[in-house]
Amino acid sequence: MPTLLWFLWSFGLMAIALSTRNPLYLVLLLLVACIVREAVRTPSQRGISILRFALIAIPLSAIFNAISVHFGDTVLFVVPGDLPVFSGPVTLEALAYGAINGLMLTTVLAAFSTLSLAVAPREWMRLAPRAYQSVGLTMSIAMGFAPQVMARLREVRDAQAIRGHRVRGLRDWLPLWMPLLTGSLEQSMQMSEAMVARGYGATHSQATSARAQGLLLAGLALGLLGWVMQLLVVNGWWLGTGLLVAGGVLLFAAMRLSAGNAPHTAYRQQRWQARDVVIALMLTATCTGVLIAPALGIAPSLTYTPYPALTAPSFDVWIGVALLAFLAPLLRRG
Amino acid sequence: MIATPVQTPAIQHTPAPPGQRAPTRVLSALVFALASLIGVFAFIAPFFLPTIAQNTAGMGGQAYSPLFLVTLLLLSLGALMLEAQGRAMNAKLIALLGVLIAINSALRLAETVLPGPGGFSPVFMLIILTGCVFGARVGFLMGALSLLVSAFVTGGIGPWLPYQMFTAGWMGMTAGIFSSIPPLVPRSGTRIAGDFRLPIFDSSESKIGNRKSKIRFGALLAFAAAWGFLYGAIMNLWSWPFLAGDPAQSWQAGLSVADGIKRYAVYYVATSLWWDAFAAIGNVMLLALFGLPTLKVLLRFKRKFLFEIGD
Repeated sequence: MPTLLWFLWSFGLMAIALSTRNPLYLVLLLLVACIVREAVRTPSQRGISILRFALIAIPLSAIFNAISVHFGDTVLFVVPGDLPVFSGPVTLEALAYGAINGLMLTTVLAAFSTLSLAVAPREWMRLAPRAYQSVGLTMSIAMGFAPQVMARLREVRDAQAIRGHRVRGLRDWLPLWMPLLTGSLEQSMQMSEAMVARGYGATHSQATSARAQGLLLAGLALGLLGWVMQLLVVNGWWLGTGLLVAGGVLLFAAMRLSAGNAPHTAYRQQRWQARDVVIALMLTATCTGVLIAPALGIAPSLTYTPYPALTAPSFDVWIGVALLAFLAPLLRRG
Repeated sequence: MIATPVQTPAIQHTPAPPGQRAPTRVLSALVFALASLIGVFAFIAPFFLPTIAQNTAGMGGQAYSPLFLVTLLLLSLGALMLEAQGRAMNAKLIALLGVLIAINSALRLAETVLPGPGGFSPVFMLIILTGCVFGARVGFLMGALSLLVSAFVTGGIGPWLPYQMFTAGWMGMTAGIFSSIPPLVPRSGTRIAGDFRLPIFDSSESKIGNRKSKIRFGALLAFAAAWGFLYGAIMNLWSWPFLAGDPAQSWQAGLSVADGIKRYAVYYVATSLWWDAFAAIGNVMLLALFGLPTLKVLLRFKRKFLFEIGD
């Protein structure tokens, strides 16, 4: 599936997950993300365990919210004393809201993890504007490597546990931190050597040229001057706006000039097939329908809150069906 | 061919293409200064813009809309990133920075799942130490990109993100001060000194020995503590004008600069001081416990990056 389509899939799913606290929709989205994740995962890709993350994130989030947010009608017990943050009634509603937050976080992580498994770092890089090739490459390495860091931490923790190491306090993290840091940096060395061996940075200057720097400087100066004119000079609004626009144009020109220093070619071009267009339309329609239509009053809302008294969340069948559109990557693979 | 470590700068520049002049450090510093200045103005806008907007008969008020300020910040960030990557990045640095940012993102995810007390966050330690070892430009990129990537990982994308990127970038950038002070222990008999010196801790040392070392490490801890408070104080600025509350600590259109600062100070002390105290204490604790071993590893890798086979 094309990289852009994977981005649409993951950011659409994340946007919906972030905009609701309805646990039924969140569970549905989580299941969909996990199904797609298992479908795209190759045997050599490990990734992080979503189930393990959920088993940690949901209870911890629930407990933390319950002891720090003292709002809601159903009081379970009261923490006595004058402890800042913690003292006060612990409510069922706060517990539920915390658990829902943990569920939302797990769903976002599942979507992100699927994206990082499905899209290779080099594909991430292609999406970065050419002027920001180095920053884009750094980000793509970071995003691809983030799940590996968590997997590595688990390996280090297991290895240290075999040696009898137990984490009891902050100091006990040092034997976990150092192998994690050193191992990760060793891997970065290998990665950079592979990049150099494949010719990265061999054909063109990485540095911004003096002309581009001049344009950047002029653009920033005009922008600042325009803003100041808008604010300080009586009747200077239009002149200030003109200077701001001119500054923006110069900044854009600097980016264009820098982009000329960073040509990149692709051995295999990604081609959109008819099925990809259909999937893109399905996902766009789902996101629009679920996120925007409720605001216009033509579709039921995703909103749910357990406060002030816990009630059962509603479930609209049509929204549920619409969310199943996020299974679309399975069609592409089939 | 003899394998000898030679002195090469951490930031390597290939010659500029024909027809283009090489970038200059002065222009580069000016770009950094001007973009940061715009960032500072955007942050402190609540203090002075309402008064000015009133004085300029209304239209100036549009120059204070949140969307306008976020756009301005994004443009400045774009300029800063372009400049920082242009002078600072080679393959080794890209890979190293990518991995360090990934570690920080994982730490922020862990923090999101299991929040520490108050504003405690484990992500600032690596930002400070990276700026400390690799200098201001890399420190800026480390801070800004750490917040950007971790926002993707944790779903923390919102209008606050450009502000967070700028503030964390400044944290890393200012940590670069520690990389420019002369080394504590002169390394006689080695040709690879100079560019990766660190005032506080030399990779040949196993622990802080003398008084000067202790003072310098104390300075780093004080720096980390100060940023624990500063990060919160700066980040509060973007949301403060939109919060309603006690009139003694709320933003109000038409306030004088002095009144604005006074009200913000009251607001900060009442709502955020103790929260940020946890961030400051956390930074100091993390640096005290993990700082030196981490610096040692970062220095060792910086030394590796500089190693080249001489002719």
